[in-house]
Amino acid sequence: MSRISDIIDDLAEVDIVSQALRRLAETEPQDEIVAINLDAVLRRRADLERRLGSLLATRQVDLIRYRVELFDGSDPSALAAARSIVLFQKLVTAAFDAIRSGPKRLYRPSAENARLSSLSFARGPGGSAAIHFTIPNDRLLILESDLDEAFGVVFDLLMTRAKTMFRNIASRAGIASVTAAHEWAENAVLYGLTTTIAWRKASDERRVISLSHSDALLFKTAIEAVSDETVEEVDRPCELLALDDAAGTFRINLSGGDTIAGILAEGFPRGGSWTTRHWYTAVLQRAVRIRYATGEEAVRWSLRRLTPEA
Amino acid sequence: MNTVSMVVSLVNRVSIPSRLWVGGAFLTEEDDPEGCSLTLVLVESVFRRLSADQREFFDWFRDVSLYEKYHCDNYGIILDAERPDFECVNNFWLRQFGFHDEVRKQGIAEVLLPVVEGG
Repeated sequence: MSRISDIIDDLAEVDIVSQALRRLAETEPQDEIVAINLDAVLRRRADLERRLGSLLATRQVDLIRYRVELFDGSDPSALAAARSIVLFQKLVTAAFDAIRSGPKRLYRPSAENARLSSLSFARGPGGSAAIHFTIPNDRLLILESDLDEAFGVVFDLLMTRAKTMFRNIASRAGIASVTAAHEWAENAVLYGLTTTIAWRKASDERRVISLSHSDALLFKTAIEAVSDETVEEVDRPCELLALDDAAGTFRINLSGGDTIAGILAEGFPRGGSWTTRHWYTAVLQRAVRIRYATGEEAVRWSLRRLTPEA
Repeated sequence: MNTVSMVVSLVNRVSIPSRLWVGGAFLTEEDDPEGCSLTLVLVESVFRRLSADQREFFDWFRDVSLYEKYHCDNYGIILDAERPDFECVNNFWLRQFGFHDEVRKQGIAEVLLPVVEGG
């Protein structure tokens, strides 16, 4: 990738010099020579961009421009930047894994999907310049590649603030992707980062997003408000371990060995005569709540009826 | 090389005292070099004294891209040690051509123009 990184270095140099010449042109507006030299530098930029686009197309790689800075434009700590990169990689892999193998609640990508979605440094961190990553990506004539879809999901996700949209994206990319995005945003909030991410396939940057520290906070808070709740009724043979009428709680042992504890449902007959260490058929209500921020599943049980086993 | 010869003969024809920096992969041992770059460098005193024809040629060279037809990137700059932008512009172009770069270690050929017959 050395030629790609050379061009990226040259482009960074172009931006620095063109800024310097612009400043000079402002102080010396009558100086035609500064304008001519600035023209040449900008023309060089267009040529480098063309060359970069052609290289990306020939080698079938995508380029990700990733820039993290503090609110005042200064450099963040190495830890903040490194964590931001790691968590972005996790987000990309979570989305890619979902596109290839189906949405998941928790982040457990296959080794192959992790490898295929791994970003490589084209230009490492240094000063206030952007970091660049490359990643091999197929160029398909009509269809989008899995990686195209994954990047599409990542950018859609980072722009989302509405609950319905989070749910919609989770249906394609899994709650694991939303959780990874939350983790990424949490880091941005913790260290006060402004992050700019651009995805480029060939000539143009296909998607660009910039999230300030406050955008990240809004995004993180929006995810924390999203959860899915499902309720179902189940019956299970069980051994009654404890039942406290006054406290309204119970504890049972299922035939498989699992112990379940919870509360007595409103309709549960109070003041009944129950014998511990006896077997019953329990009619239970299982309420599951999945938080998008963590992917954790919280289960609440309530006991509706107990019928003695024959 | 045809492109370089063509530009050299054009500069010769309008007779602009200048330097032509010739760069690109064809100066290296790289297989199948993809193109070259030509930078026409004038000093300020020459630029200020360009005749109308010379100025027309210089502006044409700066404006028209030779890439589509000749696979050549072309630039026109004015570089003069007396100017305030000298260091910035000079260092920029040298770095673009791989000078002072420990990794790339490239270079350019400099052709002094106009070429004097028999010189």
